[in-house]
Amino acid sequence: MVKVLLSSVFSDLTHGKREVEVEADTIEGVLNCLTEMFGDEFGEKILDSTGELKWFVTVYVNGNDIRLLNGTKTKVDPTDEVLLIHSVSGG
Amino acid sequence: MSDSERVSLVCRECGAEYPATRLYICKKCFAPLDVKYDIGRTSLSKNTFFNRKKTLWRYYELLPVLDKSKIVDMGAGYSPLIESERLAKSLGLRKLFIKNDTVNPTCSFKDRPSAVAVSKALEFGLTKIGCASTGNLAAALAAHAAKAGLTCYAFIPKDLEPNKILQMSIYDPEVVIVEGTYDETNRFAMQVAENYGLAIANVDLRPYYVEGSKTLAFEVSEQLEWGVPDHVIVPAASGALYCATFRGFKELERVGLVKDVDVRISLAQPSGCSPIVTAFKNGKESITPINAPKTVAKSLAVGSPGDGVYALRKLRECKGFAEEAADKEIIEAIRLLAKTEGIFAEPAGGVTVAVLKKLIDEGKIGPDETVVCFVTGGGLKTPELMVDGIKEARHVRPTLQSLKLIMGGI
Repeated sequence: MVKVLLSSVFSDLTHGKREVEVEADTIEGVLNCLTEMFGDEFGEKILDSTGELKWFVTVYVNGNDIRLLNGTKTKVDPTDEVLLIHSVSGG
Repeated sequence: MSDSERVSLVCRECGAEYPATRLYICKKCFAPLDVKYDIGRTSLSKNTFFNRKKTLWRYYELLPVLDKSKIVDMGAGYSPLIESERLAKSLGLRKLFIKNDTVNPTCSFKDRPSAVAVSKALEFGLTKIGCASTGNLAAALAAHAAKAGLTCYAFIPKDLEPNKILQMSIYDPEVVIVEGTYDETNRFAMQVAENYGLAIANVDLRPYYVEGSKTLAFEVSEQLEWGVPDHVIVPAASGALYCATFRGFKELERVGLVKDVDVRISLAQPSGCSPIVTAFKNGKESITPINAPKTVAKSLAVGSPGDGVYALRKLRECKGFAEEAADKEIIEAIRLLAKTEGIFAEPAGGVTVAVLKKLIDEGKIGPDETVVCFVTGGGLKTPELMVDGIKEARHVRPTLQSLKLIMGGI
């Protein structure tokens, strides 16, 4: 099972859950599992109309930004840790 | 109207509005929030500012602090706008101004957003504040926090310049060096904020924090007698300063202080970390982050710019350019600025001058345009970069013979 850590900004959508485990092979699969777990509203809020992550949601696999890997097609293993956070960086 | 109604928060994407609390992300769509002012009820004229203090707080009505007793004013802002004839001539421009933010209390423009963030933190009743920083913000925030009596936490990446670490440390914050890049440091700081409730100035106080930066635009206009230049060059790390500059000019137009703002704002990044420039040149609407920025301009080494997407939109709206400068060009520009105008800048200041030179050489800025170049940080923060190539000082014995030799040379 892939461990998924969720930023507290998504707490309203995740019913307060900050850490879950899902069974998936790719980030796309992880996001589908999360949508199934938390409802369609979760998917609607973090994905755009093309099914891609909205630009202000960043996903990391073991600390690596998926935009530098294979995007939502990035493969994940059961030992991987996925982090979903809001993209606020710099100032 | 009560003053509390003057300020609210508004979503950049869906327009949802919220009261001015510690919220920083839209509850409906998760986009970032900005501060909104009830400008229709704000009565401002050019005379409003006539006798006011020459700091950023002179623009109080357009800043988000409601309780004047909470304002922390260390004198940040209202920095000189210097007509730079020798540099202009060297670059082939008729009229060039340097907006010299090296003279702020901690020698960078970060004193502006820090003043607002700390003041707002006091207004919220907070006793602690933190930041994720490449150096300048940490110093500015720590200084303002010291002035306000707040505990400050500065999260910084490893390998920052020694003078920057010394400077931030002198104000006695808790300095935490993260074994990673700035982006990893920022992520770490966000998790500290989420798990321990610490307010991070450039994360969860961001809507208020960033308002301090737009005062650069206000001042440029006021110092040009409520005009606007043809072109402004702004350095970019996250893109927050760029977006704030754009917003500042537009706000002046909305409140009626300036008519028909038609200014091109160009964006400058170092070649070793130029995700916004790359996206702009490739016609993209999204940013591909840089995994391991490598540039002498460490204050601009933000590989995943949080406001990059918005900077792209504003660049296209105002028909600005986005250009990058190599490390060598940045250092040459620092030298050129120093020897023509007597201003010693850190690399973020060299980047804007270097990019300005490129845009002029490429014919993108005409010789008759009036240009303002932001110089956002002082050179003593990064002295080690400029040691090579400095003219060697002469050593003499204190004798008449030596004097004759020296005077003969002079």
